[in-house]
Amino acid sequence: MRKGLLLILFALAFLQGMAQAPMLVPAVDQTKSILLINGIVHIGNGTVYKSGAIGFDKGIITLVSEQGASVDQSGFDEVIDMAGQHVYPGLIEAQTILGLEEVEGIGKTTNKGDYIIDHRPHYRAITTYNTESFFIPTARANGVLVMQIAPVGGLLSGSSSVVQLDAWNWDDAVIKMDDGLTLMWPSSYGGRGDPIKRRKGYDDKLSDLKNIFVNAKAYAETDHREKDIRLEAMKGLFDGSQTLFVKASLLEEIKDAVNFCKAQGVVKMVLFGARDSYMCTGFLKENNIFVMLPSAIQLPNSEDDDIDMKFKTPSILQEAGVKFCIHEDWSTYDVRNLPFWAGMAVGNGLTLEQGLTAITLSVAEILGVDDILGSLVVGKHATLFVSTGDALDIKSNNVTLAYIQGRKIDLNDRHKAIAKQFKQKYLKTPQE
Amino acid sequence: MKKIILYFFFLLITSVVYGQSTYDDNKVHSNENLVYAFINAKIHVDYQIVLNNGTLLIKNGKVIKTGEEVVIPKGAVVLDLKGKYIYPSFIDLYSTYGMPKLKKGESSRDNTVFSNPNGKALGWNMAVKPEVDAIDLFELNSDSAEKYLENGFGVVLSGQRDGVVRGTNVLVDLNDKSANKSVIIGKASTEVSLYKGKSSQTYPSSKMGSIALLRQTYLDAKWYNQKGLNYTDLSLEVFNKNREYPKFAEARGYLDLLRLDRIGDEFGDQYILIGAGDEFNRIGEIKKTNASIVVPINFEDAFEVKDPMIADMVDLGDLKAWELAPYNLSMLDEADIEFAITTNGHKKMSKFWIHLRQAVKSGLSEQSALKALTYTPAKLVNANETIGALRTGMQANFFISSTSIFDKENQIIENWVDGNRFQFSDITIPDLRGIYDFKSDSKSNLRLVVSGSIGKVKAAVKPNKDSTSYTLNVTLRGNDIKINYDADDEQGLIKLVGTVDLEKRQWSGVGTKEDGSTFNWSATYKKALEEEDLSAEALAKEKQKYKPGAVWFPNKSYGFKEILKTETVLIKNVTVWTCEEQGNLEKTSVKIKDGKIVAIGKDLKEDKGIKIIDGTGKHLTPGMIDEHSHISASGGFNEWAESNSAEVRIGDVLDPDEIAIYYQLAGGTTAAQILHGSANCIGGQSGLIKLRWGSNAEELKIKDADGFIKFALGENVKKSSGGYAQNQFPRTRSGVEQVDKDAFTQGKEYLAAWEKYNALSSKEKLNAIEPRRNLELEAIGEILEKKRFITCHSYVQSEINMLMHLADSFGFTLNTFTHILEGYKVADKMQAHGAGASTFSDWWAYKTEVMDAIPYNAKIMHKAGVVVALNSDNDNEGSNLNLLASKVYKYGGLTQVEAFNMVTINPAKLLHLDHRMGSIKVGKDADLVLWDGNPLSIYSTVLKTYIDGKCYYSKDENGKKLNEIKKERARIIEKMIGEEEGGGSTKKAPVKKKRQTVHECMDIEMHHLE
Repeated sequence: MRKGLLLILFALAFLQGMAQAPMLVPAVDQTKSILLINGIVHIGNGTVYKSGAIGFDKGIITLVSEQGASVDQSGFDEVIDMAGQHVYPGLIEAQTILGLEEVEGIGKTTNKGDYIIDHRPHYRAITTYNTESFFIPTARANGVLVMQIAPVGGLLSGSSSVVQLDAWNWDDAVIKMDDGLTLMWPSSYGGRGDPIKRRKGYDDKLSDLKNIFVNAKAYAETDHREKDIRLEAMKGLFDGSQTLFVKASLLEEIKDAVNFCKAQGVVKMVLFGARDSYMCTGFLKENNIFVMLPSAIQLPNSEDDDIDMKFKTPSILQEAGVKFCIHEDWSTYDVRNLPFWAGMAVGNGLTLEQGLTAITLSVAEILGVDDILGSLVVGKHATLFVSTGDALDIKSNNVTLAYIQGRKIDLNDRHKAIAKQFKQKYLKTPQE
Repeated sequence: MKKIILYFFFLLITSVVYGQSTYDDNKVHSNENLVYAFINAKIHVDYQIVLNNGTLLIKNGKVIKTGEEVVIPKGAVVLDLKGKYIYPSFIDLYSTYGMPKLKKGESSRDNTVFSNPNGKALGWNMAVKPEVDAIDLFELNSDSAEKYLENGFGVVLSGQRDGVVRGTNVLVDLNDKSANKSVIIGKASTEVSLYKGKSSQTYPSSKMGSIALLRQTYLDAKWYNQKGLNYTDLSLEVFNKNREYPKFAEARGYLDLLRLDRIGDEFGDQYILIGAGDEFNRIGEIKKTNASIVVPINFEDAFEVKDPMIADMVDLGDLKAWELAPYNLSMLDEADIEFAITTNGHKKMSKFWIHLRQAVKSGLSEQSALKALTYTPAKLVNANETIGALRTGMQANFFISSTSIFDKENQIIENWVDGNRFQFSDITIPDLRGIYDFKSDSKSNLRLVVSGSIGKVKAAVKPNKDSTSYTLNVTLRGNDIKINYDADDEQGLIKLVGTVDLEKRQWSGVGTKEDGSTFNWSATYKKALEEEDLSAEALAKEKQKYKPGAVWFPNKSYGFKEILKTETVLIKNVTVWTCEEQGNLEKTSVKIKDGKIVAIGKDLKEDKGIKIIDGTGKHLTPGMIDEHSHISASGGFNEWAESNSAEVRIGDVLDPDEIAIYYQLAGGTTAAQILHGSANCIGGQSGLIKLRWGSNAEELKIKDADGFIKFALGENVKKSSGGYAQNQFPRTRSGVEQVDKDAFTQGKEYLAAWEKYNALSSKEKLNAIEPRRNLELEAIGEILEKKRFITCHSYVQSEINMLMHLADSFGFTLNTFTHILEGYKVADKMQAHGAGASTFSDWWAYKTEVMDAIPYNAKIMHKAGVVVALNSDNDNEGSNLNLLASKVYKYGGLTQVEAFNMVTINPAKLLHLDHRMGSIKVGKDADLVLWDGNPLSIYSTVLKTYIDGKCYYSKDENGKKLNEIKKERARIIEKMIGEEEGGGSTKKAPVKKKRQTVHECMDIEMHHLE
């Protein structure tokens, strides 16, 4: 009993500590129409207007113009001059656990996957998504405004959802509910030990997987009086209403995964992990497979690999015409570095605008939300931000203004709040 | 006259050896004392002298005489060995023959076992057990003797071979009758190693801990040698006594081999090094040890790499090691390094012979091979007057073989050890194996191929050279022979009966077909089996097949083929980030020569022959320096078994071959502090290195660098995350203070004791007891004396404050707080104390104590006047240090130069290396990085990295290396597949799926240091 009480006290003390910085207040709906003029407008599809204009009202883009200076300003409640600054569509992070896990080192704060069951298509990331996560404001402050939150682990890890990053609760945050399922493709040679045995383990898992999908497909063909919530959760894969996000790394796994999805009648599949995707660009293109590439800062997997291969992979896929995007798969707190992973690819063969597309329009297309997000086009959400310099380079990324669905969001975060707090201390000392 | 002398000599010997046993036999005493004469043999008297038609006389297990004209005394048993060979029996210096099996004691990771719980007056650590004498444990064991005997071995050096400091080993022969007679030298050698073995005590938990333990044992033993100590330690007593014996040191790899030799040098012991067969990696360095080496030849089988997916996951380093291993001995021999061969590592002894012949095929001379199995091992245990050759008076340990031992068809027929005869087949049966011409009434031009072993031949008939052969069922008894065979083109079963002229190897007789009709047949010996098919073309092909690739430095991917040279270079018209007061210089030139920066200016002279690099549009910076790295240490970088492990040194376990070094170079990092981890309060001493890829461990070190030591605070040292050492003090932050305070208090007393002793006159010293040198307190003392400097892992402000107060109270300054994520909360106090800071750029929230980490930390501390560096603590970040600076620039609002200084001159200052590194200034080391753009930009990449004027990384060269890697891989993989398809033995490929080298502070490697 005493132990229990202590635990509660601990938890309270901890939460109090974390709550030191005030939670940001979500912005109210856009009431005045806004026109940003003279900014360097990056559309997201490769086009740049050196001095363009973007207008939006009630959360929707109403005007996009190449001629920022000569655009008709009448009809806009507020006109802001962005001369010299860059305007970008909001960056989109995919397959992240941000909001599902708070502190990596504290097991109690994680909900990224219900590891008790391996096969859990019915697990839903959205219901655990924490709109108050401390990481969210830091990601927004660097331009990340939309995310696809997704569970991890097991075999079928559960369903993902697309959310925007300024909300009181997950109900408000959601843009596309249960957009897809995540499948952790078995590792063909995972771990150490006897490769032949592991190989057999792989084949066994594949045959299990096949049974699951065969059953799910049969189940999906009709309505059942007795529901099976797992099979129910997989229905969308066979009518295309849900995408299957498959994590596979090695060449053989990638090929097996693609062929498997085709054979099982999965309508839409996206590959992530995809370490060896550069080896099979023809195959991926032929099968019209979209690919998500992980952040490139990780070192090669094997000593013999090209030390730059992870940096170069995006440009190899670009050249081969494979549709791809870049996402942060390393940690929750690194989501704010998403623009820089695209920048890394720019340093290794992509053009600047291709790099931007890889974290905006391409992600939106891969997630199936490109009708409303991903680029600065009339009719899409006014989810965009302004940076004084090139947002893909660390040294110049400096976000001064950001809108989500036309709502001007607070760019403060825990870091800025603490820095401000301690500024008080040093004002009294002779160093400042 | 000659005969008479011989006779007298003969008498002399017999009288000496007569009746040397205290045992009574349960029968009529057997005192045959016969002379055995082995005649007409090819006798290898020793590894050099061969008698082509010699005679060997032995009696009572001793050699009486060897020679070509030896008179055989009357009454001698004569064995005619026509065509056969005699060799001195082999000697194996690494054996556990006759030793009881050791069991590992109970131990758990959760609970530290702090000291030897045995209750005896022995040493404190269970891995130090010099008191174990193999002779006390030795028991005859004819089963395990047999596998040695049938392979030609007569004597082994046997011991328990467990622990860091071991006792003595016993030199025994392999007779199966009497342990009393087996023992040749009771205490033939003593031994050390770097492996804890079966000890259930927690310390040492790392390789550097084992090294510290070994060094401390030497020091303790020296202290123990003094008179007047009121203290008994039987282990130390024995250790001192054992130093008179030949000293062996067991290494499980060439890096350990070099490490052990250095320890031996420190204490005046030249070890005989027991190697792992991978010495080819660093032959030059191994030569410099002056050590003799005991080398195993258990070469790895070819990997099964037919599946391209598996092949893809085998590292080139493993492929190259496989290919070069058989060349190890010839390379040692060529370098004139003395070596003995051991069978250690061979589970199947039959493989020993395959491997020995493979070594000979790979360039080792037969004479050197024989030397390494006879003379050298005998010499290394001071027994070469008794064993290892067949000279008069020596032990009659020899074996008889059917032919030369290097011939793959050779068979060992008998082995004689200490007067005991071990027969493996009948010595009188001649070797009938070979190729025969087979004729019968109906057929001719058939070839009969006779193989198998001497006592049991197999035969096959081949109609002609290329056709398939029919296996024959052969029974040979005396000289009667019966053969059955069932050939497709014949009608049914055919029986051949006949006789063999054993002398001429002529077979003849009568055959019966199934229908009862008979015919005559004969077979005539043509040539030996080996000679088959060896055309000049085939020989050349064979040779090509065996040709290995060159040794790279290191011998793996991205290794260098040659040792790098210092370049003289002029980099022109480049943006120079000086990291000095003057900041950046546009369109400037920098000249490097003899490893130093010699000139900086606008119009530098283009010396003749100087290499010119056009730097237009490019940036030149000093090499970046990582204040906090854990790459390149083997055997664990956390000695976590005790809260204070100040005695361990990362410098002892540097691994120069780790690929992470190359990755960091490719990212523009040139120097790093390799730190002990943060598992305990007082960690270990740092290794300051330059990332000289391709050099050896000693060359990595920065000479004359100040000494540093890792301390740690917070969650890690109080074992908050659980999983190990849960019974170890401290478990609170306040407890950490007490551990540190205690250490400094003891350190102070330690210094005082030595000061007192050193102040004595030399006369007074004679009657005083010299204090015990304690490596742990010595390191703490160095801190107090300001000769060693602390880098302390720290997060929250309370503990940072605590440690500064503690340091103040002991009168020294903390050099660096590392990580220091709440440094911004106490930056003013740090500045006042004089501590520097080495922090992350934007890591946070991965555990409770880093919840308040902010990316503005570096800026705030910098503004408060603290010297701030940015560190990696992780291989990924370590290869992109410039991006850390870039993030601080982004979040901090410092100038670009101020931010970049945090990865160049500032870490140099914190490491006391700023007089040599960290900026571009005339006279400093030519550690430079050429970038294709602003180093703070994510778009920029490194074009070249220089250290001491040598180009260790170049983007262009890297591309070439990648091609070479691909070629070398393809070549060796093809060779392996050829091996597999040719019926060679194979093993599962060592697949390495993921890199295991993302080293972070808390990694605790549970190495099984057995």
